[in-house]
Amino acid sequence: MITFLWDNILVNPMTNALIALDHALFGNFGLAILAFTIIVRALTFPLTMRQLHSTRAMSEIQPKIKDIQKKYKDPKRRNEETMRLYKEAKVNPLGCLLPMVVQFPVWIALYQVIRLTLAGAPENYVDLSQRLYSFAYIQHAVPVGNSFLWLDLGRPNIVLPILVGMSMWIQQRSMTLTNAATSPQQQQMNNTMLWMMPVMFGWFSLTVPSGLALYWLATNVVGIIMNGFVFGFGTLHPAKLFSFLPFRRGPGTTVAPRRTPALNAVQSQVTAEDGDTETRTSDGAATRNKRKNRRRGSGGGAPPARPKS
Amino acid sequence: MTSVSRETWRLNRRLLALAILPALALILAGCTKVEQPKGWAAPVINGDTIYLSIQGKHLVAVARNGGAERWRFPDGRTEKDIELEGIYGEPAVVGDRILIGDHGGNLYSIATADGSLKWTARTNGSLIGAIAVSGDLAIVGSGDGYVYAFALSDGAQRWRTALGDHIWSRPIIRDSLAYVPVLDGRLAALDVATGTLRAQPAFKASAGLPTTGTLAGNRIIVGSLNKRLYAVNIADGSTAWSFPGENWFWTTPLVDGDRVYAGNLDHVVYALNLADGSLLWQYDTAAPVRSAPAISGGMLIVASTDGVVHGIDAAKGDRKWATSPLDTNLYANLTLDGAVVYVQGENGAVWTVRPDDGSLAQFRAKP
Repeated sequence: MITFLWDNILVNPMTNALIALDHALFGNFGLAILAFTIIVRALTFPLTMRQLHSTRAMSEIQPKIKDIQKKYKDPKRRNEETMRLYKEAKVNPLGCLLPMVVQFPVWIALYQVIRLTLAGAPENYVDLSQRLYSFAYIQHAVPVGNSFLWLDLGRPNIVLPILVGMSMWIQQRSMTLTNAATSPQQQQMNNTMLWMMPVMFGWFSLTVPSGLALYWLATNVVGIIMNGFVFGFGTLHPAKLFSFLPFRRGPGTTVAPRRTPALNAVQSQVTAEDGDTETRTSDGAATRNKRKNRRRGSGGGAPPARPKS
Repeated sequence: MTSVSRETWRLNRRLLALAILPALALILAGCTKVEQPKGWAAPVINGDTIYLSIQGKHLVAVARNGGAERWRFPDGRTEKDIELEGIYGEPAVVGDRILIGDHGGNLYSIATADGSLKWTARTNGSLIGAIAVSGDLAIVGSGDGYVYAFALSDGAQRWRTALGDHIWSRPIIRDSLAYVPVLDGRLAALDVATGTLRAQPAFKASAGLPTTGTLAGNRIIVGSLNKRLYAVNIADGSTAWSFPGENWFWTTPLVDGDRVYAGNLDHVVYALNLADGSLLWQYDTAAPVRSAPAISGGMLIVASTDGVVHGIDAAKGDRKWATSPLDTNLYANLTLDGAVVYVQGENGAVWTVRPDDGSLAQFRAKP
């Protein structure tokens, strides 16, 4: 039953769509893969944007959560303040998970689809024949061509895995720059993800048809562009991307996030132990009565830019 | 949950994801890696020897009585650098040589006495169709869109002709012409001696011709990816008749007397009148039919891809027997050898089936 649903809801429709695209794009299967990737990303755009905004909002309120954890001794009160903060910022702690959960089976199905349509061995065409719809436009488009630029889309290629790894690293790095870690453990985790994911997917791309690797590359590029629109394209500057290198390291390795509704909506009260208060209003003006100086710099978020008067 | 434990849970969740991702990548790699071509070449009988393609990696010569192995190619010793990539077309025995083509685009001439390599010829595409022999030439169509002619003596290329699309079929030789079904739907005619493409009103189907046709008088019966079986007049390329199925015709049709038998990927075997293509009967095998059938003593033997061999009354289309599913896919054509039919599975195992009662015996176990 599961196989039936999987095939008929995901794999078969995607298979036929990809073949139809190939027919429409002059029999160029590489272009069909690129177009299909863009279409899929467009269809999942609302979910992706929700994930990105949720991730960024969570990151922005992390310092305030940390402040709450420091200032409130009572766990109950701490939880209440934290949940109030989430509510005001309109952030769901699990919000970043749902889009990923929804998208994941789509990616798995796409893997199968590209494997089926490329059909490296003639035996695979027998399987493919059982999945095609009856439309002549699709039936007459088979077999699809394997060539795209210098690539044989049915065979692995050494260049594409490198591009896949690089593009994924750039995507991860730009996310890291905008979502600063709030603890050393989290920083370590971010660094692990930054290097492990590109290496893993680059290796994965070495073992599959280059048509699949092309799809991953296109997905990463689209992801980088989407991140740029959300977080700003400044994160793609080489000086920032490679700021971790010794000769590149300078003051501030993180990028100040844009002010968002989540940040603007929050008006937090941080109660110091000696009763001093700091109040920030939505226009960014700050008043401080008595406050110990806090160290600001690398590893922490830079203060949001105050609007010009 | 306290905020400290929440943070811990978040970090643990990430650790878990990091641990799962490599495992998931391994699984995905296993699910999605390139399917290695195994081939579906049928057994070929020559004298007291049967030649078998074993999972596309070896050509093996075995004794017809008993199945004892005589040699295999490549043997890993003398031909260390040769790796076959799937043999789809049936080997061609010519004198003391046997010719095979593989998915890697290589054509090999091998001595039948001891399996030693005599020469290798290369094309730029996969060799899916079988090899045709005419005079001193071996003629084969390639996935690079060319038809090649190689000298039987030394493998030297005599000519090659571009046909513009993949060729997955064996050329049909008739009156110094080679008729080649092409995956763009054409049935091209080439001069065997020179490779010159004959300019004639050529037949063209609306989709590709993936399989070898069958010569029947002045017609060629050939299946298409547009779900139709065609009878083409070779004199002028006109269509004598066509018959529609529900899926691709990918078997080599069998002509017996005034009838044509053709399997289809829509699970059905069709029996048609050779003269006009009218349907005589049809039989549902419950699985795609890729392999060409065999006929013996009024019994039509058909193998479906789900591993079942069917015995059908050739005159009426009634089922006479069916084996229990063999533990492998059946793509290879059936080979008739007198009182038995050889059935080769995708896993390399070979069985014999008696046409009269369907009794099955294993001839060679899977490697």
